[in-house]
Amino acid sequence: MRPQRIRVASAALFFAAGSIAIAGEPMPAVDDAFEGLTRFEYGDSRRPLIVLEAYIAKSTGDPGARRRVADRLVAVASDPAATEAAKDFAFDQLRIAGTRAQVPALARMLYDPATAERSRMALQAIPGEEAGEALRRALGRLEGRSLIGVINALGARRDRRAVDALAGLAASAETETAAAAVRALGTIGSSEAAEALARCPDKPSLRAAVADAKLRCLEGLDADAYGRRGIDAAALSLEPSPAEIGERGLSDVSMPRSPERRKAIEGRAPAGFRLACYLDCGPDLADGGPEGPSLRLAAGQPHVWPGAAAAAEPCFGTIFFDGREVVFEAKGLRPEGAYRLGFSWWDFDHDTRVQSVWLASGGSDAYAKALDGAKLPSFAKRNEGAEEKTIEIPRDVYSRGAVKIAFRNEAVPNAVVSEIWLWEDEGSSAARPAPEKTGGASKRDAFRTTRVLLVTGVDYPGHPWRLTAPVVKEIIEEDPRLAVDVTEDPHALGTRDLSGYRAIVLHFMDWEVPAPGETARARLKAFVEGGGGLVLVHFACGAFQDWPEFRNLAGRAWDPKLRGHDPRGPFRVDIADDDHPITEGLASFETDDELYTCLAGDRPIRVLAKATSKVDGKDYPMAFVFDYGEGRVFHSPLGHDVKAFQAAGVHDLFRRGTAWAAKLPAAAKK
Amino acid sequence: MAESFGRITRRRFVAAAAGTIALPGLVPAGAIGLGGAAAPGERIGMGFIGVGRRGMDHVRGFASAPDVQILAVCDPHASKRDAAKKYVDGRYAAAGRAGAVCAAYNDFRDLLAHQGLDAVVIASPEHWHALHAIAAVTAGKDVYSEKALTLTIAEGRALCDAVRRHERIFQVGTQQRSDAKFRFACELARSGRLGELRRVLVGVPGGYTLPNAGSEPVPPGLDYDLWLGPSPSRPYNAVRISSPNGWYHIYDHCVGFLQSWGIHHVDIALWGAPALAAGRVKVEGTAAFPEDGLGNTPLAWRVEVTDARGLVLSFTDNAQNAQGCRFEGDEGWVHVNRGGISADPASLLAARIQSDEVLLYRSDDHHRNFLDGVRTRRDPVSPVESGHLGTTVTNIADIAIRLGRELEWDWDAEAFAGDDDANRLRTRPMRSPWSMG
Repeated sequence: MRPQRIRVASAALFFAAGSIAIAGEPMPAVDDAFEGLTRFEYGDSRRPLIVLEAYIAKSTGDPGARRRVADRLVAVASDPAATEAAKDFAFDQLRIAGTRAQVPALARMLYDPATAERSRMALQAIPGEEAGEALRRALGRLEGRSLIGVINALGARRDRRAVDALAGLAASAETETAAAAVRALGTIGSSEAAEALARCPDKPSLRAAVADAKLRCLEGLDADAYGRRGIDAAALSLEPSPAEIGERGLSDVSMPRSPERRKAIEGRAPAGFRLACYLDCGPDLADGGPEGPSLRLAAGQPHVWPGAAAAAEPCFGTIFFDGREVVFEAKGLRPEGAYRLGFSWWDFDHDTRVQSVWLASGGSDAYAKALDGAKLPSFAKRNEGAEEKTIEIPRDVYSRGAVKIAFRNEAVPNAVVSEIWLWEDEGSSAARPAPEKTGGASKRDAFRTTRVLLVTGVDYPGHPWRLTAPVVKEIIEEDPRLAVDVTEDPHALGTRDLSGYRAIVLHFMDWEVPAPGETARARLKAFVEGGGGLVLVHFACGAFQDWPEFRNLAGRAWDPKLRGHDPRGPFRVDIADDDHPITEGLASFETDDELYTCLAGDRPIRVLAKATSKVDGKDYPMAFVFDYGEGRVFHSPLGHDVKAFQAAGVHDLFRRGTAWAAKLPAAAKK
Repeated sequence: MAESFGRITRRRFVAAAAGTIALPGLVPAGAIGLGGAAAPGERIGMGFIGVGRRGMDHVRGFASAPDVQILAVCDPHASKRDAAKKYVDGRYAAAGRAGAVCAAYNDFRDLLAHQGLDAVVIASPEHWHALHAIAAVTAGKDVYSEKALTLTIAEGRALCDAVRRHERIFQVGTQQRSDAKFRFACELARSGRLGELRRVLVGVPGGYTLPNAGSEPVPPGLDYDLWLGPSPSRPYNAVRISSPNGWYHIYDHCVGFLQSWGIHHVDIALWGAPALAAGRVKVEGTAAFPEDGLGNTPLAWRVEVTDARGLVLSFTDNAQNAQGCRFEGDEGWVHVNRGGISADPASLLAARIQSDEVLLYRSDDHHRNFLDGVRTRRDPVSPVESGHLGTTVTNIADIAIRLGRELEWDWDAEAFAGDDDANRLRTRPMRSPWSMG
């Protein structure tokens, strides 16, 4: 049947659906419609349902009619003889007409998997404490999708009484459940919810959800509520970290740097001062600390002005900008010390920018103007270069050791800063204890004695290494003996001292950039031959395409002539060989990933795990090992993105594979 | 529940939604140094969520921008995403442009994880808009989204907050704002050229009836669970997922042409008469619904929204009020639609709005205005709040129709005064695991 377009010429039709009497007994048409409802199947005429839809919505204006309607709906929803289509309709309409009187019946249906989702949706819509309590009670008794639905419902209801239970669920090992609880806490947004979020363990898989939820709390809680409860927003670390801010900039903009610039500024310190911190805005998000002062970006985004490199040093062409204000935060200032702030700015692409500078004591938003609105030198109009300015920071501003610095936009189009730095008086610098030489390992990590180097920083654009590298680190560090250092520059293989590492994890592919050269290759080969471990993650098999020996070092390497992989989706990884420390006791598992079908090579390997392609029905290796000289190699093509690292089996393989490559004995069973 | 809609960001919200910008001399950064094709690193990396009929209009439009690189598309229909990818790759190859090939994803979450994306275009069904957009801005992407802004009022509020929280650029696809004649009509109304404004009349196409349709096997190449997303679970049939004679008219997915077409001219009405979206307004209306079939949204309707000073918005299907938006004042009227502009007295059309009158945001290309926003970080001509206000008017109209009673809507609280059941309809539960949070 061809859908028909209805044109209405007169207003007479308007009352066709609106004329059903509400007061008193329902019209016969409504009774008839209810009579037939339990037998309704999808595909039947919806005429009776349309009568009911119109009647039920209007019944909300009449308590008696509404009570009768809601009772009839809940009877259909719980009638074992009613069709699923009839139940769908009844649950739907209970969202509109249901009241506390229907809560007990709906609460019972929460525990029947066949009706759990639909009764949850009805309960979510019914106001009042009864529905809230029914939902909270279900938190401890449901799991999976049903549990997530209830968590979402409590969040949407902004149920403050659910905060404690949600805080517990935020620590759940099930990532999806934990993320739902974090989001619900953010939606509730009370000070208790904020405190619960501040206690959340820092896991890469939850980081984005927690950062967003904290921001929502920060916006939702007015300053008054903070003050009354004596909560210090800064202490709760509700503000996003520089790393979180950095990820939000225009991506894939390469940030040129000029390290000599810092030295130049260092060299012209005012008498009695030394350079404590320096940020080349754009590439640098934070500098300094933990013993001395630190300076970090608190609000603003990095950008590179196209074409600026031809006009001036890179430090001026890279900027932080913001429509309203670019904010920095300095911490670790000595109240008895003396500080000056230096910065540079210019208007490269306009002749309109006017900016003022404001200072506020750390933790407060009481800004005082430190520099009146000043017109920036314009390159676009008058070929002017950047200018530097210095301002004294008044002592009372940093009496608590911290200061916020805001560059405010007073005109159009936005506020920009090219560089910012902090001078500290020499007396303060001398008064600090000399930093201990701990080799970079903090106290917390003292028992992590086996060091591993994770090499990432460049990959095919579809591979979000910025997101996956922290996940790989987290997974490997699930083994308490392993400490992972991360380098985002593969050329570090040629320059870095590798002697302290027991294994190297390759999580990069030199996409459209030169691969690390001869020195790096020779050192990597020597490292493994000499007894070091090597781990390859996902598309690392595609690195070093122009290095023939890499095929032997990796065991199997990407061959671009082969079909790349099955369409991304769920598949099962089978343990092919469990007589090995990496796979002993492991079960086959489901994952959601790219099933690589593109590996080629002929050296003997021992396949520990495999998967069957849905495309050609053949088996492909998902994890394999071999010895290379004195060293051990563990290679797995799993791990396309963060989602692909969710399965516990993937964690087991990479954690145990790395420990084995580093020649550690098998860890106690988790 | 949900009493606190809009409490915090109201101030910023009003400032942005007022839409009056007087910034003479501003040069969009996008216009500088980008005369020809930009180098790859300077291009804005874009992705597309939903590449059906409307989504492909946007793909074609943005593919012709020299400073844009389309990196990825997604759609739960394999055939649609494959066709879109093929189009993009072919278009760039023909233009001799180097760059990564366009990726094609089923799941929007995989698209959002694609490295290098700066902005996304959303052209999914209404029931998906809020989730797609919130996920995108949370991932740090700027967004161009089709109208209506969201399915429900609560979703619109959550999306506005998310856009401002993450400081993203957001352009609603109400492209009539980038058309000089609509801008001019609104400037006439706001500058007092019509005298005291009395009535605003909006007419848009009425709805469709649909056939009854039962359960059918899901065709290969469609991820129907992902198509449904937050909607209640319903069996698949081809009518449900069709457009424009399908999901637009099914209340599970959209509030009909009342919402999806209504937003276009309601948006113009609010641009020219912002008083309609302030303080408290009364709303009442009636409608004719289909008598059978899957469609359950208004076919024809008549709604009146009245502000505290008696200014009336009359909103109907176009068999009653003429198609478009008509501002009526003491001293004249102006009527505008996509076909043209007319006025009485006709001399109004020759008027030149002076610099001391209300000059509205000037944009003549909705796509380009968005790209300028991405570069300058300046709100585009249709900021997220404008979409929320217009969509809210269509939603309170629908709620008043369904409940069959006059309601009072409080714009400051974003709630109906004294009607809990009406307030319940501001939001809808989502199918697990989806949530707005």
